[in-house]
Amino acid sequence: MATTIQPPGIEERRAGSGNGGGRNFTPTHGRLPAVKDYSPPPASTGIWVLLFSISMTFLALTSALIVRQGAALDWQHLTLPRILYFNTVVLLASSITLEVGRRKAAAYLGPVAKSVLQPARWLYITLVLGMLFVAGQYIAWLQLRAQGLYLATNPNSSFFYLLTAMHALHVFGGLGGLVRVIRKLNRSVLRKTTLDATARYWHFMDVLWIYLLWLLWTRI
Amino acid sequence: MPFPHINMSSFWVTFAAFLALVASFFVGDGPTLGGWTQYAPLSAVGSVGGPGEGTGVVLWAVSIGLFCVGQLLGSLNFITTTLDMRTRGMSLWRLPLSSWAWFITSCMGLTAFAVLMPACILLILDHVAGTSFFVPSNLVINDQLQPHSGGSTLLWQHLFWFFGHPEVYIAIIPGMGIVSHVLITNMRKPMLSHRVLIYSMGALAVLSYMVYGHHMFVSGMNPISSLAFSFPTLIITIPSTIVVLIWLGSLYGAKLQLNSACLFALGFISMFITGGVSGFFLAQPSVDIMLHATYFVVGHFHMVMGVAAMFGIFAGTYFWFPKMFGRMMNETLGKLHFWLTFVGTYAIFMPFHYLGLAGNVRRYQAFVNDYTQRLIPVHQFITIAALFTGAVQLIFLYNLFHSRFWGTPAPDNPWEGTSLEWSTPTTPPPHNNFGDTLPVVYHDPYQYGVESSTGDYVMQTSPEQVKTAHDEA
Amino acid sequence: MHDTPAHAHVAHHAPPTSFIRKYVFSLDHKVIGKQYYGLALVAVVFGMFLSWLMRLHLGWTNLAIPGLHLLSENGAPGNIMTPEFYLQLMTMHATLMVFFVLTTAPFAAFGNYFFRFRWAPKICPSPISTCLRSG
Repeated sequence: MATTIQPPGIEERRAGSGNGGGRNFTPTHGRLPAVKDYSPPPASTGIWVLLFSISMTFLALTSALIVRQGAALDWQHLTLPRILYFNTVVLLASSITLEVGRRKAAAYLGPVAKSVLQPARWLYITLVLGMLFVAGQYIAWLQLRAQGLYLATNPNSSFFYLLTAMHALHVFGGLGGLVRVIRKLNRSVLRKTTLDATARYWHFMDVLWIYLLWLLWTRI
Repeated sequence: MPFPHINMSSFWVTFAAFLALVASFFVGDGPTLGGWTQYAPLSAVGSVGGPGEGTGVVLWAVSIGLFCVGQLLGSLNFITTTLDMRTRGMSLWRLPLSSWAWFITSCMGLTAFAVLMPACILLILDHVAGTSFFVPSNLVINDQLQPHSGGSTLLWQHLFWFFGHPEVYIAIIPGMGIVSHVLITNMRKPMLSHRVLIYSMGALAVLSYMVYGHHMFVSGMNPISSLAFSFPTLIITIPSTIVVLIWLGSLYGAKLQLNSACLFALGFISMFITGGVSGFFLAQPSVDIMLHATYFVVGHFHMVMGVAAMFGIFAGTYFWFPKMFGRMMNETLGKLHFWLTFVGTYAIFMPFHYLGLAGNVRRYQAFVNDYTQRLIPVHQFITIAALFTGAVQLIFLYNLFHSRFWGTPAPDNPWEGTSLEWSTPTTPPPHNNFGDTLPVVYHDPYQYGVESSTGDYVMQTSPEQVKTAHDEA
Repeated sequence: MHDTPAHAHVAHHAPPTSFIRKYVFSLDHKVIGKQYYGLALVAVVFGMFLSWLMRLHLGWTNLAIPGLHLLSENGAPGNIMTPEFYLQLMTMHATLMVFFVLTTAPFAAFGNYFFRFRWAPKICPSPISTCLRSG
């Protein structure tokens, strides 16, 4: 391969603008750089990006809460419905069952094929626990309503309903992801990266709920 | 790309947002009147605030909330593609500047839109659920005491402008990337410093989160915080200036091919400088007290963001139209469009600065004081310039649609560019972009001014080795 | 010395054939980019039209603009713009332009179209079942 080739008649107007003096960046010699052929799977990067933006949303809501608390004297602490703590345990349990199912599925995807029932079972349990969590949150709302605390009653109740509803909405998304994973597993078209990403999202919902529970407990 | 369904849904969510916004013209008593900034409490009190403040605000908030979701989905795709799905040989530093700009913009969008969305949700709740996040107590409108209690109007401003300032950089940074890309191709040499340009765009992105309070100097917040926001605002002028100086320095001594795309790229630089300079004044609280909410601000942001970004869009259109549609746009019409628009937009927006300095407040629909009445002839001049410039855009629209169907067929690489989009096997590109074989990248993105078998450039995908001046040194 | 290019073959999907899949609900980033561009074009024309209405009112406050009452019955009685209607037009002009033109066109439209040209689909080196095994 020739290193300098006489170009066939470059038009005058395009010749010799220079190349920036060659000081700008390293000219290449036609060799491939040592690029790692491995890059993170897109599902993995995608889920981290999604979790980051969800975090920003809840950070904005947190700052709204803090500012609103300091804005006026109408902040009336409410007692958190006890069922919230039960719901927390349910969500934590679902994370555990999901992790068990994920590892079993990973083993299934390895060289020694085992029965597909085992990981699927744990994923179904996770799904049920997730739905139980959402139902428990709805019961918490009903309990609050029974105390006469609605969305607009006072700022505390507003933020309570808002934060728990936003979280529950994202948990719904996680449930949808779980359903998708289960369906794919049953059809044997599940990728490990999909399962890992869905699990990571679910665990994040767990962490987010613990943070929200702490926020609600200390401020609301 | 990694998530094609998410990509598709991002467009349709954005389209739904557009429909929701336009629908506000046809419901109730019209669209909201609170400005695109929708300051509380006007935006949150409901229809007692005026026509369009009921359903109009809700539709606006729904539209913008949907828009945020759409952009978040899109940014998700961009970031994942950049980090995970580059072709073989494409290291990050071998990305063209336009791609770096889109990557930086999508990172910003991820953070900014994620904050506007909950703000819109809170606004909707204030309207439909009777909460009072943004409406304070003891507010009396039209002799009626409003039922809300305890909200913070400043909270909306903080939430909005935390999004709002990065948003204006989201609007301009892709333009910077497109303009850099177009200029390099037409200068036939790379930028003075490719990496510093990238670092500067990144610095703009990071700093943009720290300056948002400069929209709130007169909002009643603590004056010390005005100082805290003014300082980074002055600092952020540094990366902006570096970017401009790199452009100007690279242009020095270049033999430019002045096609329409290049003219619009140069126009972008001109608009960005002119509009940006007025920003220096507004960055200082003491000066901003006089100029806030006057036409000075309106002139500033129209030039630096409105017209500059439009010129970036035009530059991209003229540059990439041959690749997208396989036909060339009409060069004569393009140049005519440029010169008339360039003169026209200066004629519209330069007088705005004069109006602002003279004390003409913005968002007023009529002028009743004697000092503003004397400015009406200036407004009339601006109106005529605006109508003229608007009419000129018909040239562009005609060019766009005529060339789409009857333009000269375009070669694969009409501008002799080096980046990957010019190496597709057909023009317009086939469904899978590059045909059956994936491109492999051997070179940095802007190898112009070298001696190679193709002329004075070597494409990124060409395995040919070339000698550059650096080698000889 | 450089490597010989790996002519890796992509596990590519067949292009869509139905009109809906090709032009409406398309998964092709090029079509999505053009759709965004079209949206921005419509938004910019509408936004510019609104700005003309605003500017006419600012220059000549009591001007009767023919047909204005079609846009808003209450906002333009007798085709003369009320102050509130001016603010409504201004709000819509700004919202359309900032969101649906300036964010959509440079970033979403051109970005979606040309960003993907820097890249390649992730190479799946072997049939899809192996993909499952190795992720």
